[in-house]
Amino acid sequence: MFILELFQGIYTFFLVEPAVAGARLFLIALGFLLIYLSYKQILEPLLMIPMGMGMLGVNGGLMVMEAGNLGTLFVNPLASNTEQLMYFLQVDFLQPIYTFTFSNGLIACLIFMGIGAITEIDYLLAKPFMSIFLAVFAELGTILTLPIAMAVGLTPREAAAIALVGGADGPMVLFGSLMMAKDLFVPITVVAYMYLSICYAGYPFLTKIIPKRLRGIEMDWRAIPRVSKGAKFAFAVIMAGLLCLLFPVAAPLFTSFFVGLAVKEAGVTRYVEFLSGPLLYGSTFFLGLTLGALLGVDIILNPKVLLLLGLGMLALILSGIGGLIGGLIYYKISKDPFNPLVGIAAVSCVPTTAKVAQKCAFKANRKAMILGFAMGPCVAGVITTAIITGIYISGIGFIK
Amino acid sequence: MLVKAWEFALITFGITWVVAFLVAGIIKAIATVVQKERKSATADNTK
Repeated sequence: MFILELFQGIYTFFLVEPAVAGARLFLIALGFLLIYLSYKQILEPLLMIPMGMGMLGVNGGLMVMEAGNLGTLFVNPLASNTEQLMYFLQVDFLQPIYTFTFSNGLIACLIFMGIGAITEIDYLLAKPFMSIFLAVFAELGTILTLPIAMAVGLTPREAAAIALVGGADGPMVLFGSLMMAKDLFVPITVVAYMYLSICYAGYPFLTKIIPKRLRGIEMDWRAIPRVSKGAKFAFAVIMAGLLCLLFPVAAPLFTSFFVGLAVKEAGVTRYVEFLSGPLLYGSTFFLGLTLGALLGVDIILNPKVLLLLGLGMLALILSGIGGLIGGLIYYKISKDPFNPLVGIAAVSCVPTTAKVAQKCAFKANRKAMILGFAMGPCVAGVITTAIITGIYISGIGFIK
Repeated sequence: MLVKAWEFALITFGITWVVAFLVAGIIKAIATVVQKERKSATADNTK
């Protein structure tokens, strides 16, 4: 046994209950699986490789700490009082990232700044009513999952946090769950990012509910009017002001997104390079690594996790169906030829869902080019999800 | 409580419609103003 004590990662398997040891093994295997699927480009490697590595590290690296307690040198999300926190800040290598960027939602805002700096809003501004119309329909999952989640036993705050997965916007889910269900923010965010990264493979099956002849409708992309830089800049500034006035609880998110957009449209290239490069990718990297490191055994043994897995999936499926229903309705009311697949792009997983719409249209008809039209609803979906996040955070307390 | 949850969900949906179309209206207004300014600038240049 003495020899085994030298290799504490293995030794600690024998110090815990068999169920806990099994869960640890499962998480290590899941970490390997995420890394493999990301390497094969089935999952999003930008996020999933760091997340998988974090899971491997934290579940493999369990050791006997001072006073005989088991722990790791990664992060302790439960540190509450100042003395404890100071100790873990000096001992756990990811604790500074968690304490200073996770618990206050900063990491979500940093990612949003980067997303703002790379978002093309031309199509949203060129076709605002069509984009917004579809985007609201594509929030079906975000709306319906809230009461469904409550019906299966979640508290209103937890239900609202998991319902936000239907908005298909990772940073928004992270921010919303930190604000409303801090105890569950790790599983909710991991569920959201895992599902979002498989949207590209999963949504094409959903689009088959639209008849092939409609999926292949051609749209004339030359009909999209050009939008000036001045209009785009004015949009960013006015929207930031308006949405912050309406929903102060989500003001950090709105400000972050629109400041990225504003510097892009103002042509401040040095800021754009910083926001869209080091800041966006640095934040995404540490988000993935820290989330992975937070996925310890205690998370997986929480009975609510299985429920969250089901509800997250339901939210995304309902949103996809909602988007397609919106697409069909718009197809009926539009005077110009309109491909209903554009509706699925309104599930705001920018730009994945727009690419899904284009891929499926192209499969049905090689001349169908709808990507330009799909980008408008895709970006509009970010705005509608932000609106719902604001309403949920400010209003969820009314359900008693 | 479940009834209240459905009510809240419906109210959220309604508010989202209103705010989202307010956003779309503002976008349209911005586009119109910018277009008018551009037209008048073009007209000034041709004088």
